[in-house]
Amino acid sequence: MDKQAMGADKWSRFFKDYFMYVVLIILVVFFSVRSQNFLTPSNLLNVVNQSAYQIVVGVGIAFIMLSGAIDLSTGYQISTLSVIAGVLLTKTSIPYGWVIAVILVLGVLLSLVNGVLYVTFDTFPFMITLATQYILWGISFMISNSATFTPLPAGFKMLGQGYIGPIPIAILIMVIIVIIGAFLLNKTYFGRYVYGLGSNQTAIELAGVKTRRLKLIIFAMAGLFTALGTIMLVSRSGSSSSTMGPGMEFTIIAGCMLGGIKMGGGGGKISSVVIGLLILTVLSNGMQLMQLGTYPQKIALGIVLLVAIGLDVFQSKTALKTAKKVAGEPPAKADKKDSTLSSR
Amino acid sequence: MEENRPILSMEHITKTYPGVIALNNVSVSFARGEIHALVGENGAGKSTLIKIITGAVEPDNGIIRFDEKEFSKMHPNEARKMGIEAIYQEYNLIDCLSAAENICLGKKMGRFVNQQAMAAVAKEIFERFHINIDPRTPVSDLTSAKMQIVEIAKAVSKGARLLIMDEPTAPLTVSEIDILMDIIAQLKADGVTILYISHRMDEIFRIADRVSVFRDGQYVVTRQVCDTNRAQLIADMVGRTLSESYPKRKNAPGDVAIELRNLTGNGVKNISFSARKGEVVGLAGLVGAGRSEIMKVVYGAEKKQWGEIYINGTPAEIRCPRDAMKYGIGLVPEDRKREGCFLMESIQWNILISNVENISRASVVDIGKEKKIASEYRERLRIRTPSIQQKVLNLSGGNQQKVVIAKALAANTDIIIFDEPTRGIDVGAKHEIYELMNDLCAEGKCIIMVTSDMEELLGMSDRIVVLHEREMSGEISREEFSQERVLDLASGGD
Repeated sequence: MDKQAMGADKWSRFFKDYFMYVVLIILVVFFSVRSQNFLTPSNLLNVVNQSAYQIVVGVGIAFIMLSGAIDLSTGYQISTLSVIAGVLLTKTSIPYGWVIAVILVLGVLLSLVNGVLYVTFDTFPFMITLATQYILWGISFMISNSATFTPLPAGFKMLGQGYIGPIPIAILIMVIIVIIGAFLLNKTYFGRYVYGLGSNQTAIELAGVKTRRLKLIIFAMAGLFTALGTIMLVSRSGSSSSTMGPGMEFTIIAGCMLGGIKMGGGGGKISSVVIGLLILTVLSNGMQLMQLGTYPQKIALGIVLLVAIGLDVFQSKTALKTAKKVAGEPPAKADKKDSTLSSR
Repeated sequence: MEENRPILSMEHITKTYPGVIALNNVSVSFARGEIHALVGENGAGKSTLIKIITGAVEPDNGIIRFDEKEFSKMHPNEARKMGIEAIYQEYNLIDCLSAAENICLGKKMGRFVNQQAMAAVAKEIFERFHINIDPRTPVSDLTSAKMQIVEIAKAVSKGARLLIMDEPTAPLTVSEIDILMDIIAQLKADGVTILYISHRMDEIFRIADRVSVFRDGQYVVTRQVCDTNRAQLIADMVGRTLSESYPKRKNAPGDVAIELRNLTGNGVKNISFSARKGEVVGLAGLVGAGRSEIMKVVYGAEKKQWGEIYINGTPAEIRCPRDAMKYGIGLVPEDRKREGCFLMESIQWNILISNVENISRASVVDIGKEKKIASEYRERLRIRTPSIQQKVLNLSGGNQQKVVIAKALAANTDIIIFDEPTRGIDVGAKHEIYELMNDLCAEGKCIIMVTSDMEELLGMSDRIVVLHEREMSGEISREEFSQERVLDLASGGD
């Protein structure tokens, strides 16, 4: 490859890897100028804290998306898990430590149901998780009867509201989960298989990977992270109800895509989840501080997503163009004279 | 044959793809009403040339002159309007519509759909060809030979003046080929110019007026068919004598490495043959004869119905590719983009993906080891790339194929199934792959090669197993090797 193409390649890689960081910085600068309350340590910490549980759930969703699948039922998984947690914490005397363990196990099981259906039907899980979403919707409201469960044990609330030194516990949990996720994805062969499954299922099967088992593991893992995120959310809000969670699946999927995780699999990183969800939280936090109404906020959010999609398409097309370009000169140089002569 | 003004001439056409010059300053012209054959090895540039003629691909350079009109590139609609039609190996028919509806697709025939008028148009053409097809039959119920006739009828009904046929006889049986030849003769009598692409020499000598030879993206020569012979054309195509093209193996075959006994599954029935260490067994047959299908069963990618596989003399239970890999079987699949490589991942990633667990400690991949192994394969297979971190997407076809082969070898395999190992790659890379296969044989590995390339089959195999219509139709030993014998068995034979 010649230097110019190398340079172009480097540029497009830089663009791809860091563009969303630039967007985040631009947003931070913009909101700092528009509102003096934005760029304060407490608000910034608040932003990260707000997105912490989303990022934890998002790491699991990222594995699902990277493998080429999708889960639309995450929101109602959260809803169902949170009301079960609410019932166990307020209506029984089970210690909260045990409740947490139960919720984590249930989270794995709920997501495994999706996984089992996915490998059994062997089809794109959009419809499957759309269907299970309705089932969970019903279950969640049948358990809660639309009630809100409160108050929760103080020890339990520590998880979402407590601090170790100046750092919120929720942020610590998030950091640990992000590190685990990135480690699994980048350092282990499991991560290779996830990428491989997303980018070419036939080829990964022929490479000797048992894809059905792999898909089940991915869904089980995502369920674990969803349950952990649910616990953080319930603990942070100090109460639980069936309305917690629904709609979240789209925020998280949007965040993942915004950060650069490809729908249909194969491309993206764990840092994509973090950056994408941070952008969304900064956006909503900043707009709230600017005292924009809920509905204009939605419009702004939609526009940001469209811009992100546009950039993604633009960038993959440029990448394709660079890939199509060949180094060197056209070999027919000497004959060019010839052809101009003959064609007059 | 009269030498009149050419209907189409291509002047100084050049087309490059990443890493490959598909056409290099090609000038060739086609006379009105002739049957003009295009020959050349795979990757010689024939398909690119026809894509340029039909407007599917834009040339980098050069002029296309059709009917005295000059174009720097052809637009698909323009080409169609001028009467350029092409029939590819994959048919462009709508399965659920009838033959007549397919033929009249895109044609204005009154305000509403007029089944009768369409049937009449179809019937008239079929009668001209002396073919008995009910115009109302849905295309999905037709045999592939009849589908092809519908394709031809479609082109004719659109007023084709230049008809391009890409390997039209590949899926046909011998008697069907006869019918096709009659139709082509009829078209010629009607004044249609035909560009006929085929690997089958006998067909060219049977119907073509002139033949143009391509090699490695270069135009070599155009000859009058009546003034040339097979040997001369082959010499033109390969640019060297055949014996040079296929490197000789020196080792003698060893013990039997793999034996299939009545293996059945994936639609293929009762396949029995064995392959020895240090030997290449060629698997021949027409497209759809079940060669790749049965190899998928051997590799565990498709379910076995009955029959046994013996590895080194002991029965092997293979239920999935992982089992096959445990028995030391590797597969270089037919469709490298769809089944072979991960285009968006690096060369290193691709080569090691089937062996990544073995170079991991406590699940963590040893990147240093990975790099080392990948570099070794890059050296050994001469994968041309600035870096093994390069995405496979950015490699040429030949280098991508080498990555896929490296992936199969890196899993420590002893029995390697090569499915169309050199399809669509340039002659240089081809030769390197042949040499690699010989090296593997010398190391005592066993190779089963599925190929549609007759010369490759005859040049590389020690024995040939032929399939016909999803069953085995014969085995040919080296002494009996001949193109005729293979074709005979492949089309039913004795």
